[in-house]
Amino acid sequence: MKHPNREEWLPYLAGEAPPGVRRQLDEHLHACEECATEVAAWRRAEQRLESWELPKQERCPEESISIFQPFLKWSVAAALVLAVGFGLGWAVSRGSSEGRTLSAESRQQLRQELNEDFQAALAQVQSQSSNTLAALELRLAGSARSDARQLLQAVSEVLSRGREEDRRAVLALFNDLEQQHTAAYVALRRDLETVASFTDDNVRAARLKLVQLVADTQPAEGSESTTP
Amino acid sequence: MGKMTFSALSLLFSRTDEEAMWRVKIHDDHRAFAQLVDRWDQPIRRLCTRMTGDPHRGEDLKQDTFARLFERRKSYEPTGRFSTFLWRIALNICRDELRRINRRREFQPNGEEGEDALDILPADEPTPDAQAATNEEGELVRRAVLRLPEIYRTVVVLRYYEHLKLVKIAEILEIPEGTANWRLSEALAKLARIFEPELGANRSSQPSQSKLNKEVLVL
Repeated sequence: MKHPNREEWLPYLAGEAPPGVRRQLDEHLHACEECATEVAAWRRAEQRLESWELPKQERCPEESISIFQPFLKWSVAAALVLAVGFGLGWAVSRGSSEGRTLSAESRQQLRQELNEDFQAALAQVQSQSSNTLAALELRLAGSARSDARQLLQAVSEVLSRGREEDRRAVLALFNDLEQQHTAAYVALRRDLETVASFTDDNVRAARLKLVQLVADTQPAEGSESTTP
Repeated sequence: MGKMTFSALSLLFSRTDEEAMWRVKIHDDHRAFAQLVDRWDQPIRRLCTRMTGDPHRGEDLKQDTFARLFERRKSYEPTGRFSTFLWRIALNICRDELRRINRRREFQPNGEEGEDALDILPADEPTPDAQAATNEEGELVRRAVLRLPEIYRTVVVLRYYEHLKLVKIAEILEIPEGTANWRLSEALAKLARIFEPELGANRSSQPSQSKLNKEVLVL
């Protein structure tokens, strides 16, 4: 008797053999005890495999973070560099007696930029998510900031026309963000101070300047917003 | 600040694996990478654990796999499926680890002559306190699978634990579908004999195989 190849049994076991083939193999099993024993043993082996379950594992958030330690370090370093840049920029702008005015101007500009960003962002979130919009946002997420702002402005103009109530909602959101933003800056400055405390006199002097900045701007911030 | 908003929005629209990997390759996008790691953490962990029979080792090898995935991002070709690319990396990592383990092992006096040193992990190797199987029967199966030579263990894990189609397995291993089919059926036949030694020799087994078959499974 011609026995089917071992490989032919595999699709049969999986129930994936074409009907004609399956019938043939069925018939062979009926007629051939040797194959019947063998195939039955394979079936049992297949089924036994299922009983090897792995214990469930608690997903540790630190685990995924550990993979990105190098990235975390770089992004923290980048954030610190940015903060230093901002701090130094403010120190320079505050060098003159019109320091306060300059600071207010730059803050105004900052506020305006954030306002635009949020307007457009909120408009996008509220609009029907079409494929085009989704693709646009995906591209924006990856593109340079200045380009994105231009595109966003164009979109926000189209979408936010005549939506006065939305504008008010956005401004409220913006105020919240500004508070968070301020809190974040203060925290960043605090971190900078910690880092700087390990360096030499020159840097220590710069740090003192920054600390003065914070003290100087605190009253201005206090008058414009509620406590964070 | 605006960037924060964009990032939050972009997360609303999840990418396919291929899109995400493309972003990792071209832009070193660590957020896209995090998405991929998140999606594939469990399958890769399962594979590495089952190939080595050891959850701690499996966990380490999983981490190694994703690290190598990032290292090798430049060689990812978007014409292929991401999953294929990832499975291959994981399997290579497991293979390297199995080689490393076997090189350190002392020669077994009643050892498997003619077998590749890469094969058969000792089933009675003491595992760390973490359970490698959740029940007694599972432990039996674990040891049986560990007795399979690596090439057979691979197809068994991919087919019966990750439920991949034969076509996919062949693609991952870069072998013809017929070869994958043959390996799987051979693996099943070996497993059947490990579970039920009284079955006797394979019809198409090699002489050294029948010597293995007559050994009693050490529990």
